[in-house]
Amino acid sequence: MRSSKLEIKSISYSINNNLILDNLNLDILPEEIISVIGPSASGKSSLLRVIAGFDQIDSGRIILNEKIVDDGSLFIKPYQRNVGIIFQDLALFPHLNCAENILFGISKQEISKKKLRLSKLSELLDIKNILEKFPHEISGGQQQRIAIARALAPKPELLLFDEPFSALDEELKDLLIADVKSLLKTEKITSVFVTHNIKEAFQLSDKIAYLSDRRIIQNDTPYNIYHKPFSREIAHFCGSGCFIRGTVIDSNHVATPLGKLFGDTVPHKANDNVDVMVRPDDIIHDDNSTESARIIEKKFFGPDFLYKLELKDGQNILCLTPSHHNHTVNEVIGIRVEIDHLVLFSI
Amino acid sequence: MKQLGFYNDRIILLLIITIVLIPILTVFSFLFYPSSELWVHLRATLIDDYIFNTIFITFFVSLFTVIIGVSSAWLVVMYSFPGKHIFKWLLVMPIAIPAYISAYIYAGLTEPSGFLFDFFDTNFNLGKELFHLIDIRNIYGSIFVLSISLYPYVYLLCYSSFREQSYCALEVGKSLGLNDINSFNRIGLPLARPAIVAGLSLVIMETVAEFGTMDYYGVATFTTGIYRTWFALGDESSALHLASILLSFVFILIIIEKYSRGSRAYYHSSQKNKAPLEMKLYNKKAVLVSLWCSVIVLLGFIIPIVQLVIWLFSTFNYAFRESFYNIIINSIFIASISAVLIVFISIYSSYKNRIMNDKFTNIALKIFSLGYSIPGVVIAVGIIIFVTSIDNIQSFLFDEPLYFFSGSLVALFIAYLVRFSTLSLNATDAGLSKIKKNIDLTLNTFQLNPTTALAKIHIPMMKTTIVTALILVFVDIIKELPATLILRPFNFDTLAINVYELALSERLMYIASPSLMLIVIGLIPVIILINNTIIDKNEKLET
Repeated sequence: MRSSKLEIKSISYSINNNLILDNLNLDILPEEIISVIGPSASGKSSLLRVIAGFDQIDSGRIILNEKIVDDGSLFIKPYQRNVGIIFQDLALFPHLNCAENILFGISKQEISKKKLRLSKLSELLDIKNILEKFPHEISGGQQQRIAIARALAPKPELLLFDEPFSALDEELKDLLIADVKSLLKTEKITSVFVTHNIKEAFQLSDKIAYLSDRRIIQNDTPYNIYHKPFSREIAHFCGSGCFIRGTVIDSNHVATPLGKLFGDTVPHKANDNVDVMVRPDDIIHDDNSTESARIIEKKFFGPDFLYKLELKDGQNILCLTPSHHNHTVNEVIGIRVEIDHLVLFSI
Repeated sequence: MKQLGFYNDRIILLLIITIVLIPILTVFSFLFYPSSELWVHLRATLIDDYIFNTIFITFFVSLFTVIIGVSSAWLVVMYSFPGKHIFKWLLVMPIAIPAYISAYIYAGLTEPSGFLFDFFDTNFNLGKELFHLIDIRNIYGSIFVLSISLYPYVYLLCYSSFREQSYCALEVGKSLGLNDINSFNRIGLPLARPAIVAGLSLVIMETVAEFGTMDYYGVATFTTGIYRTWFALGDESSALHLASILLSFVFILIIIEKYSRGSRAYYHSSQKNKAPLEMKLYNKKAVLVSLWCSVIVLLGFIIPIVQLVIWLFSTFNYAFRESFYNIIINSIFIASISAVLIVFISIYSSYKNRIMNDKFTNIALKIFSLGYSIPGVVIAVGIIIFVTSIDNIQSFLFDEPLYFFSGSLVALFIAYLVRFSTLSLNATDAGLSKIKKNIDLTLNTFQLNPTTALAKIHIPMMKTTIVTALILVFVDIIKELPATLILRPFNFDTLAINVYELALSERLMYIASPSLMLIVIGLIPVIILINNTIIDKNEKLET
């Protein structure tokens, strides 16, 4: 097994006697891109701050590259940790041009080395033609690239991003996220993103860590976070969906208004009443199906419709369907269930 | 969150605060000091005068500055009339003339060298009669001079306030049926109240602290009383006792001002602050309004300047004397060195406050910024006691002091530090607050100590602010009279001192050269101020 790049072991952190993080654990492997998500004010940014070394933890241990950087008494200063950070507001130095901004963190190196680094970074980030410009003369996306280049210049062990893309418009964001991801992979940089935007997290990350109630509740692949959430809260946070009532039949089946669903029901026992999570994409619109439901609400998203359906027993589910299936409210349509994994929560 | 060690910085900050606090505490310690024989006499005869005159003058100066400042600001913002675009910045100009210089000029106007006297004497042969008719060297004269010198504080703040608030609120008012007078009374005035209070408190502080005018016009107030008791009657403890009473008075004013501001905050509720639509005035109204503004500007700025220029014609040789050359060198020397040090100290303090941001530094900076409201005379006498006691300790230890602090430039510098650091501290604080916190955190991840960060990032980013702070402090030091008068080394004359001494020896015509020089220097920040607050972006003044 590879050893972790960053190990966070049961850390606690408080500001003015308010406990912000409590007994939090998180492991990050080398070259992994991980997103920390969670409700606002859950302590995501605080976690980033203690990793960077802007604040000291009360107890626990932060181990970076197998070296303790903070255990509540021993404390390695931010600049000795070799950690880069990129903020939402980017914090570019307005009085320095882009090249000077990028080279700021390595200003003590030899000129030839600096030149080499600058040309490599500007190649990777496609910013060659704006190096002489000042931050206020370039676009938001370009500023973002400069900020990333500046953080990458000293070859950090770990790169931290605090809500880096939230100021950008959607179109620009998709392009930049793809570029950043491939850059981080080619440069083999371990990174931690803090974001409240689940879509960003899905696109970027190898793993997603859900932070709530002062600790990491689940640290898992994006797929699992979406399809196998550990809690209702995570299920809600990661996408729209509904819960319908069901009764466990045996270790492989559960009875629901949508019929008998197949999947692992452990640890629930037979005859337990449970809530079954149903994602909009679990419900397939199928005119040939025997199951049907009545449309009570519809939303148009361009390529898709999101229908809110009422089942015969009055419970509601959502159904995502390509937009050529245009039906009217109150129409009854055929549906089919396609659930790979059962996600059950006891009532 | 654990505190990381900042001991050295705390010690330096503590040292700075101590320097600021010592004169204040020294003066306060005399509040209950047993009184001397002279004090008994003072209390029986003069103290009532001091209290009465100070309050009387402050009251009427407040009244007149509010009337002049608010009315002219409202007229200039809301109406269009002949000369409006000249008046709007000309109305600020009196701020460049120190009140004591206006006092000397107005006293000289009706004397044989003054142009009023000259005019009446040559044309009607009535010079003598005029001289006897108009006597300005009294309490009413001081009220007049201070009102026309200090109203720009109220004008400036009201001008900005009327400009920012007006459009939406006033339009809504009109749609609800308010006429011009009503919309002034019910919308303009109430919304400008914080601005008026802020401007007025500056006026009151300046009035209470005024020394030159009172001294020349022979008005017995606290400032002249302190000076006289100490330097004419030689009774230090009574002078300090007087100073402590004045200081308490000032602190009560500060508390009232803070309290009246209270939690009441006035936010502009509308996003867009369009410039208000000016209403055009015609005929009689336009003439009256122009006349009102002309009278203010004439009295506050043009008449004094004209008189100075006339005097300059007959005394310009004075400007070429070697002694005058030394005076200029002295002024620039002490003002520039002090300004650089003071701005440096305030950059350091606000930066430390920014990165530490704990109770200690917050309180430290609050104390640090008290000085501006304390009269120069009070600071000066507080510092004398402090520096002479250091000299005494030295002579006790080494038989003879290694360095005499009393009567040295060090004492003068401390006085300027106490009095003017508020100015530069406000500027550097504002400048730093515009720099995002995340810049500091980003710097933290690079191998860079805080001092280098300050030098390479923060200072270049707030360059304009620093230059402004330097200019403000420099100019205020050049103009400062009472503290310089009391604390300067023997024979160390500055422009302000020179003006004071020339006036004292009744050579009023000769004040032209140093006064005009003071005013020209004083105009630099005023032009910056006008550019920033009064003039619209497309019509900036050439600096």
